[in-house]
Amino acid sequence: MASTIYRLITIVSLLSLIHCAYSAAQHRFYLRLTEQPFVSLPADVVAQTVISLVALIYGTSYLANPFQYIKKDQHHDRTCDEALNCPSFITFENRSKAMSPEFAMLRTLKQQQRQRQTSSRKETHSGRVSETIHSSESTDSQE
Amino acid sequence: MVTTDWTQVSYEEGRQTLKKWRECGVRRSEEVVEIWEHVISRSPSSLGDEQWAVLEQVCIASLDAARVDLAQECIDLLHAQFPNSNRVLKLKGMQLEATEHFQKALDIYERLVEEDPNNNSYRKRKVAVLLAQGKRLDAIRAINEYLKIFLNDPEAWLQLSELYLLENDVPKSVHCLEECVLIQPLNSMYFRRLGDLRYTQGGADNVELARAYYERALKINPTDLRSQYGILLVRNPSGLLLKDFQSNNQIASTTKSPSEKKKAGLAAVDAIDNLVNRYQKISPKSNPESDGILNCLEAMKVTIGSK
Amino acid sequence: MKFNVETQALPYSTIILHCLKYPSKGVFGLLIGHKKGDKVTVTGCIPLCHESTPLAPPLELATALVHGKFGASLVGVYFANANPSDTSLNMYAIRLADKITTVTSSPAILIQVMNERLVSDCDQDRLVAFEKDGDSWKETKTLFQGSNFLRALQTVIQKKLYRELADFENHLDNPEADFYNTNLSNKLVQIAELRS
Repeated sequence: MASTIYRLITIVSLLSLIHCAYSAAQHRFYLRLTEQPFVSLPADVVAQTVISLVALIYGTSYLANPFQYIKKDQHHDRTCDEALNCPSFITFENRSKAMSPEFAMLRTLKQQQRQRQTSSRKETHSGRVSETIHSSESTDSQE
Repeated sequence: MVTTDWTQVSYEEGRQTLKKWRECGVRRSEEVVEIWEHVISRSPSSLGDEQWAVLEQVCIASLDAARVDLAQECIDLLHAQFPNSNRVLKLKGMQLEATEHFQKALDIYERLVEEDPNNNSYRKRKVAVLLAQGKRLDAIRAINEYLKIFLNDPEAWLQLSELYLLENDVPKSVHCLEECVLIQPLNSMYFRRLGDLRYTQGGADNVELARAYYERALKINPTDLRSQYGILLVRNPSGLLLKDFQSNNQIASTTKSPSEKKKAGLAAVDAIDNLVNRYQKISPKSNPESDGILNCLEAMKVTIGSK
Repeated sequence: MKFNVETQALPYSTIILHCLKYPSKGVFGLLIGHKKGDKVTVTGCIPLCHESTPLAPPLELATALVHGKFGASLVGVYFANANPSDTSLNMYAIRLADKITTVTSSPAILIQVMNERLVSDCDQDRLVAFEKDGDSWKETKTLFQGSNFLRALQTVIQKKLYRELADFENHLDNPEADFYNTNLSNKLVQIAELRS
């Protein structure tokens, strides 16, 4: 398994890093004993630190979850209904209206009214023009 | 577990649910009304300032669920709190729409637009009135006018794209969605839908474009089931059916270089692997049919993999 | 050929429940059944989507999966328009029915839900069936089982069982949702048995 290799790299480099810290402390301790001034760490300790640090970063980056594309959809769990809904264009001509008993009653009332109006319009067609206009106006306002 | 009974939820849960739905803009009107009537209306004042937003939400939902009486209650409460508010007046207009007094509603919106020309929601309502009256071509014209002023409104572009689809004008619908992509380039839904549209349009070039869109959608949203299925579909356009899955392979003939062909095949196998993984996590209790789908996918993988 | 279309109680209820779950949307679904002479019996249905303009990919995918499962038992399409007063045939439904005809190589039927008949006290048949006659679609006879099971349906609606229904779109949003609605069907059968 590839992940065991990366795990091994991580553990070894971590141990090596701890070892570096220990050697550095040892070096300072030795300097103090021999009463020499501290200039810098010995090259081998520095090299070991750098190498094990790089190895540690390499190992852990493979151990963690796989890399993700940096540009990511923020709302990835949004459902289709949510994404494709246009709430400010909502219209109310829908099935709940067709099912509501009140609106069903309203519908039949309107139909009756319309029938009455068309029949009354036929009657008044000859003489009373003003009433025809009035009734057509009221139809307009209902629509 | 999907909640199906909202009458028994706790006050806090009801409040959170309403908030969630308000923010993501999902249309679950009947359930909103149910939560309001059974849970929240016990003590709306304990919502604090949130109650006005909730009232507006419930008002629109009750209009949508053909509950004009409840909508009237909400409007009365809101009107008492904000007597001179245009936003409450808009709700009044919506109520007139629901009771099919379209001309009166339009008059209100005209006035509101005049008073506050920078507020786009009133203009959108004017379009909605046209839609409610079934004047789809007028509505398309009106949205186009609207979009000349408010160019950066993805919702309007989305609505326009839907209207063009109803008119069976796929190319224009595609154009609208492309505008949406320009506005929100990180919304995988737009890419996925563009892929769907291109696929619906048909033809080798469009199917190839559809594949590109699906791949893009998957890149920004790796868990999207639809795009994964989309990548599978474009391997075999024109009447995908499992039995012709071997024989009919248009992509293979349209793409020239064998390396590209291989890449498409690999992408499809990848997509199947992801789908199989997803389906394996499903417990047979919630979806007893997932095994059947899994078998289909395994069969597809064998046929694609063998090529 | 003039078909007589009989829709059994279970698919009938499922179709109505699908309409109720999405009252503001157009709905589409597939019909499962068998043909015997001039009689088509619809024994099941699979809700597909709740959009007035369903696009090809999910429809094809669902048709492929359902055809893989049921084969020639795929007999047609049902749909409801979004606008309750709109009784015209939906172009997308016709296209899907044509596709099913070519897939199963036998003429598919089309069932439309009459939205205005969904009122609870309406005892008319809420479904209208169509068959292809030449280039146009003509209405055919439906065998309506009467109002007895409509009462059972009414209890189902009161229990708000339609919220448990899942269509293929829901399945694509969340694969946990079962678009064959096995659990819901069991419940529906139970309620119908309790009543009779």
